[in-house]
Amino acid sequence: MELSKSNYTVHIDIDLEELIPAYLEKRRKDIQTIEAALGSDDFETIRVIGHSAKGSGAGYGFDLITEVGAQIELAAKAQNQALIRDNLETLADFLDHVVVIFDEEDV
Amino acid sequence: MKKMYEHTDEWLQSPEQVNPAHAVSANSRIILVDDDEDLRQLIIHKFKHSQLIIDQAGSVQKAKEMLYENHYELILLDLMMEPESGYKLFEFVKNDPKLKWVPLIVLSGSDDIDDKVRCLSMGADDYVTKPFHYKELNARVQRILARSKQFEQMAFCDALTGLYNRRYFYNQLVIEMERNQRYPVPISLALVDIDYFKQINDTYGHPVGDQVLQRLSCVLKQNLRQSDLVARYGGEEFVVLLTNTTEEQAATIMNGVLEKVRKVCFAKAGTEDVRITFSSGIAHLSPDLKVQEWIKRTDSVMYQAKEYGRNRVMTWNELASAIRG
Repeated sequence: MELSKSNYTVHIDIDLEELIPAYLEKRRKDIQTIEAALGSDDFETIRVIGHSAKGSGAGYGFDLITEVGAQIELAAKAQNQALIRDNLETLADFLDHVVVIFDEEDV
Repeated sequence: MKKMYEHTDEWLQSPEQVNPAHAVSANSRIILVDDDEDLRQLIIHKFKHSQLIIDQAGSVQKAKEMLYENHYELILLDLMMEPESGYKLFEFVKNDPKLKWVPLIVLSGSDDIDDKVRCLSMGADDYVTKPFHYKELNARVQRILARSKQFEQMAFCDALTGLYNRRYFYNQLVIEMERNQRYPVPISLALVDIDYFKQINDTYGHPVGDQVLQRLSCVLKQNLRQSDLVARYGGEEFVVLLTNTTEEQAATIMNGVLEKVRKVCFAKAGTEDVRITFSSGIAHLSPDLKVQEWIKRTDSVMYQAKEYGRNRVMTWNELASAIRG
């Protein structure tokens, strides 16, 4: 998945500010866990992590994490290592470059 | 114990002010069951400014324990959980005679139509697909809570007095007895019956009788503790469940209420003040006592209070001592 510069800027409700650093840090750990799981063909672990990221990403404001999570879940079910690695790269790139702008709540 | 008001006007409020349905609307308690900590945190954070109390469970087992320990007005349930699937909890809830009426919203990562149909067929009140927007989830939660409160009010509240009705009381009594088996504490039941109520209706008419019932409901609510459950048991009979309370403590509380009642004008019939008293029987929960036996025992004590001249509070222990001589 190719990311343009605009994909790195994410607008998030200010009430989530305190949760965001820990959330992004966990996703970085997800990458390490998935890489380790790839080494042992543990696709079930990868599927669960992908499923979880799919469910929570957009809720926090990170649509891309939901998209990547969904792709990883599907790829894990298909045991497609290449597709998993591709998406891990996208996720790692996103986490390295993301710029979060906190906006006033719209709720 | 709740403040005892000294001035008649202050504690004789309209029935609407003691309507239990109003009391529950402020802080609805819901349980969020999801094995994803990030998602639980997100939901709890988003709802923190609402008036909802949200408890969280990260597993099916934990959720089962919490559902037994507490009363929830809504279940938010994730289906795809590890190691036990949310479907396990769903089936457990729908097969439990008490829990099956608790509204349930499924939170699911699956957009599959078969999953949606299966959940709705099993009795889910709604199905929300992850990722979801908070505003949408909140709207669905609020709608279901409001609707279930309306149903609850119709099913469980007495229209005349605004108190809980017999059906609700009975359900709660069973729940409290089950809780008491796990965590035994003293617990007492009091039946309250207005003395010579038929004469009030016959002398002053039913509108005055209704007014007396409404006013007594207010007096009971205002002079019992927040933790005491009071309901209209039928006719001119009321029932109170006093948890963490021995028979003797319950007698002190009910005597306090009777003292208040004796001083109050319950209605005006022309220039005449309509005043009442009541007779009350109290019995504590003994080990192995069944629900019907407990009610029957309490009723027999109240009957004896009538026999002894009315306008009094009696306990099972007192009655037993009197019988032993």
